[in-house]
Amino acid sequence: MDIEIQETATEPEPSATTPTPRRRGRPPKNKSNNSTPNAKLNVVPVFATPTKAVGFNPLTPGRAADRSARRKSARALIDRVVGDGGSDDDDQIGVDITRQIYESSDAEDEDDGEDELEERTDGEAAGLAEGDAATPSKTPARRKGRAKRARSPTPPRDLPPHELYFLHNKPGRPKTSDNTLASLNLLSHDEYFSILHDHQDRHAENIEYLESLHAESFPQWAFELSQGFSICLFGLGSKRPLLHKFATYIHSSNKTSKTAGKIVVVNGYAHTTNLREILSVVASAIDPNQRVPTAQPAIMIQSIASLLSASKLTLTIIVNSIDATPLRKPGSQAILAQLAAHPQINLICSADTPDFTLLWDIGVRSDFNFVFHDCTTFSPFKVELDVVDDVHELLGRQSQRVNGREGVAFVLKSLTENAKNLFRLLVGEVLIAMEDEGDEDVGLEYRMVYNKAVEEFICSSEMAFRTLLKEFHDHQMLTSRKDNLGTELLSLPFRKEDLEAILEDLTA
Amino acid sequence: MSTEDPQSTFTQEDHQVAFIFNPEENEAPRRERPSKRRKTAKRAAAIENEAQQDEDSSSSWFTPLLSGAESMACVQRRQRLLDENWAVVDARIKNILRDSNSATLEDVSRFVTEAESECGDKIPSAFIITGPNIASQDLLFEQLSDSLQKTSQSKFIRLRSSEATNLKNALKKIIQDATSQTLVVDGEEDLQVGQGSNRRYLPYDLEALHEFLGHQPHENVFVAFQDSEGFDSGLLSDIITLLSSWRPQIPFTLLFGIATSIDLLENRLLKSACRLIYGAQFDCVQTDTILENVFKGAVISSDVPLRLGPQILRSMLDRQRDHMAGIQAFISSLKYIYMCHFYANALSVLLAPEVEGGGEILQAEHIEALRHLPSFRNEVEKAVGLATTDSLQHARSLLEDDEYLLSQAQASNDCRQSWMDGHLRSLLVREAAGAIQPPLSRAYVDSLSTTHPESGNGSLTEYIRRMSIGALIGTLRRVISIFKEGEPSLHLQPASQEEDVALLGFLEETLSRLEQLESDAESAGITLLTKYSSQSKVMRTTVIAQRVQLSRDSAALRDEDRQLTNIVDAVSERLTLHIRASRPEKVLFSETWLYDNRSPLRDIMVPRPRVTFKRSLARPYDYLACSCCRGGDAEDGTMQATLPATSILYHLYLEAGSLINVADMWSAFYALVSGHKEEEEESEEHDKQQQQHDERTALVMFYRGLAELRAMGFVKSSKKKTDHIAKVRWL
Repeated sequence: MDIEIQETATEPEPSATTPTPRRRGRPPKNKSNNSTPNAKLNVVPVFATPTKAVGFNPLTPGRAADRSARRKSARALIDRVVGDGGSDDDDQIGVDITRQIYESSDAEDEDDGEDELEERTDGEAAGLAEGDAATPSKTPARRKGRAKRARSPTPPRDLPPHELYFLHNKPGRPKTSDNTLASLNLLSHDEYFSILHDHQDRHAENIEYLESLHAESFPQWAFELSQGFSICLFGLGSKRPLLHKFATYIHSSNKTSKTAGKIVVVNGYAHTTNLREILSVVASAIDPNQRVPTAQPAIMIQSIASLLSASKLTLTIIVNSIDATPLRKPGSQAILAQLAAHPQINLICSADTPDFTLLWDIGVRSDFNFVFHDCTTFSPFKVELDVVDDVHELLGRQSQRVNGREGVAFVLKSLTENAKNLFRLLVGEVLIAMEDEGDEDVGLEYRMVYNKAVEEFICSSEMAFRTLLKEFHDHQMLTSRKDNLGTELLSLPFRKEDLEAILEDLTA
Repeated sequence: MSTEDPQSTFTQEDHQVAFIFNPEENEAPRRERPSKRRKTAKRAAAIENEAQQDEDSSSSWFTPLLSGAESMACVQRRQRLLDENWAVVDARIKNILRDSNSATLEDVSRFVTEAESECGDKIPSAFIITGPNIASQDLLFEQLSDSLQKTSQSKFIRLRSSEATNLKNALKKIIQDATSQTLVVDGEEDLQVGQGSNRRYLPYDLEALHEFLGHQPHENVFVAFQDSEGFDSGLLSDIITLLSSWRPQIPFTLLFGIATSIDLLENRLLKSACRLIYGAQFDCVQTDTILENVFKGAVISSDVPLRLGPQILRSMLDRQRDHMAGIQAFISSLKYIYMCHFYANALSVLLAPEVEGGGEILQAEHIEALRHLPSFRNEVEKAVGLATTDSLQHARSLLEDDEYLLSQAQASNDCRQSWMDGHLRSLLVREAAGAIQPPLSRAYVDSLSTTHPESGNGSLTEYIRRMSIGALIGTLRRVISIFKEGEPSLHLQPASQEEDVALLGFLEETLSRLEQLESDAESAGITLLTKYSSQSKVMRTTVIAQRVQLSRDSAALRDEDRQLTNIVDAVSERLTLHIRASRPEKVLFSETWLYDNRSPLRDIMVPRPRVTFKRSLARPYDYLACSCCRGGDAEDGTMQATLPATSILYHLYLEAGSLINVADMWSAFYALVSGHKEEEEESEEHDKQQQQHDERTALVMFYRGLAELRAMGFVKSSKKKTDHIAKVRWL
């Protein structure tokens, strides 16, 4: 340990002084001086001598000294923590000083990173150059010291996001535990909704108050809309109730002022959302009697525009979750922007993700002519999210509901006897493979399955076999992939317990 | 479309893709006859007195200010002022934009007419370099379409990459636009051209277009590819080949809008397609120049009543430069500023240039508000500081006499105008003297916020002293014209105030003396120098003992030189004295016509969603204002169990690495939530069932939080380990 400390303390030297016999003799002398961590600190001023500072780093002589002081203090701290159990109170003051040094140079160190690197390579190069002259123990000792430093402190707090990213994505296996949710009985839809029904959110009142605050700016929003801007509400929480209120507000003020105005609400989060449907509803809102033919959205929008220009109507379009997956295609945003650019159409939308601004390029953005309002509501996404399915999909158990055991039974009921047999064969083979490999993720070789199927008289030709498999593919009961050698592998997207249950059903 | 959820809490509308909002009808009104009839009837009634309604509806969004005490008259007046003022500025901006492209338009039409005879069997194509700002392409192509159709009998078709996804669509669009027929109902996809012929054509058959054009004399059919970068390169080559093969029958001309460079486009096209093109390149006016012109017309111009302060202008200019936001963004920011001013500033009613009924409309609250203005305070303090009888009287009247205050407030328009004109003149004088760097917009903004040094480096004196006699004469002529004739590009009127006239007299006299001096000097054959010009100093180099010595000598000044020096001194002194700039916010009641608030505009035009999300997740109590969560310092890493589930999960998420074990996350979550519960109900006995119920409830919350994190794109599923999810966002 002592040698190591000595090394860091004298680190700046090699580049500054020429290797002379005298120098070689010096380190041991120092070493004898600095036998305790506290005493080492006193040596620091040695490096503040002008000649060395100039040779090493002409601009900031003080900093260099600081740095080595810092290094030493870091080591002293570690020493203290690791090394001595039988502690002593008189050491405490010294430790405090060390800690202070360590922390004071902390901030400086960040922007200094580059300098430091340079310094190190400098030192290293010099060390290599004079490798013969220096003591052989020198380089290894230093390495050891540095490695120790990199490893020792707990991950630093308050790193900027990009640093954190690299810290988290270091190569190597992620260090997480092997716990699984196997023991936990996952929620079903019924249970989820029944519990939710009785649940009382402790913040309900605050959330309501927050919403009422947002509601106070309704006149302002309406004003902005009337001036040809579109509005985008963003922030955490569902903005659907708020927009619903706003729709009611616009509706009532339309009625009192007797303006011809209509409101169309679009739910971007709905899975079936597509532009044609949106546009045809918009068209029917303008004039219910005239049917705009369903065609390419780009063509529909032209007829809508001409229809609207002919009438005196002001159309307010409210888009819930404009950044939801169905509306994320660039084409649909451009069409919506074209709608919004029409002077008689006011568009107000909500965005739920933090990255929604990436949806629009400069052209689309200037068509929309957005103003943005921070509308953090904290309201739960009651309608927008299918919570249970989403979570299960996240956990890789998407088969829970749609294609679960019942679903498979249902599908098989409508298939031929041969198909049922084939599926039973598949399930059996997969289960056997699971037993053998002890792994959930197994694949069966296509050729092998085919041969077995022929053996069992399930099918007579590969064509027929393919046809049967296609039926399973269509219902997502089967997945196939190719391994590295190009062999086709068939697997079933179910968990082992499910497969066992399915097999029971099939053989029963 | 309907939901499978049996829950009664969901209405059908929640899962509908789109519907017409009509709260009075519980049923979804989409395909119902009666509602529609009623609607149309209502609309028919509405149309009858539409003119009146238009006004009503638009004015209703303005809310009374001054804690609701503002009278309706004032509210309407603010609204009217906004409309009037913005209309003026908007019209001016439109003009500027139109004019800025006129050179390009002319070039293109000239090319088109010339190409007709020169291109041979190639297809004439104009490549218009628009620069990266695709938002302004629309305007350019609209103008192109107008001007080209005006000069010749022709058809103009604009294609966008989003509309023309494949060859068939592109051709359909071309034929449709050219024949100006809307698509026949799908199913019957063919179309009939002309009355006489019975032949029906496929909608993408150019033969149809040929047939159609046969009836009408047309010189040209223009096909414009607005965003050529967006088109698939294969598609572009195909279209070019096809159209050029039809050229003997149909006179096609192509226009390409290019954001990058022609070379890139050429590389993307097939060689064979390139060979068919007879092209020329046109450069558009770049955004910087347009911005500068718009800025001059809409912001600096002397007759714009609403002035913008340096802070907001600087941030707008910075945004233009840093974000490449495009001229449209600048214009809409400007409009938003106008809206802010008239919507939220009750004193903006004073901006009206006319005085009719101005006094009556103001209320006691207005006067109260006027007395609270910083500029009012500044004025009073200044007057008291002067401590002459007049100024003290002025201060006293301002404070006590409502009538006097009102008359001053009415005069604030004149104050503004005189301040504005003075300021602009000083800016122009400095420009004439070469004391400011070229972009006038930046110089204007700087001049609002910083005062110029009166002497020394960068001062006007310095620049005048540096001039030769010829330059000085030029400058003086320019300055005289600024005062005498104003500046048309900034709508600056000739100066009429007393001191301006005096200065003008002095300058004219000086100018004549200078000209005299110059002509004298010319006839005498000498070059005139001042004591400031560098030529008057002679550098002397002496070599003594192999070392060079430099010494300076002032050359002797002639009598004429001395005269010139005197003139230079006098001019610089007078001008410096005259153009002393004052800060706009110091002018009395400047708040009625000055807007310099950076915050609403910045938040509204350049949102920072990540910061918002981070804050709401990390510190929800900032928004919820609840007492339960704030207790512990969340920054220290201790979490309150009362936080919303998503927020708790977010904190756990922050602590985790790139791969997150959901099982561990759940146990941490449950430990936190249940631990809190037990604390609360310590005395109560927990039977097994209750505990079980608590766990399930916590699980529901956990599910919900996790689903929200996923929806916001924080996590995604991972196959690396079972029940693990991957972190995808480092905020």
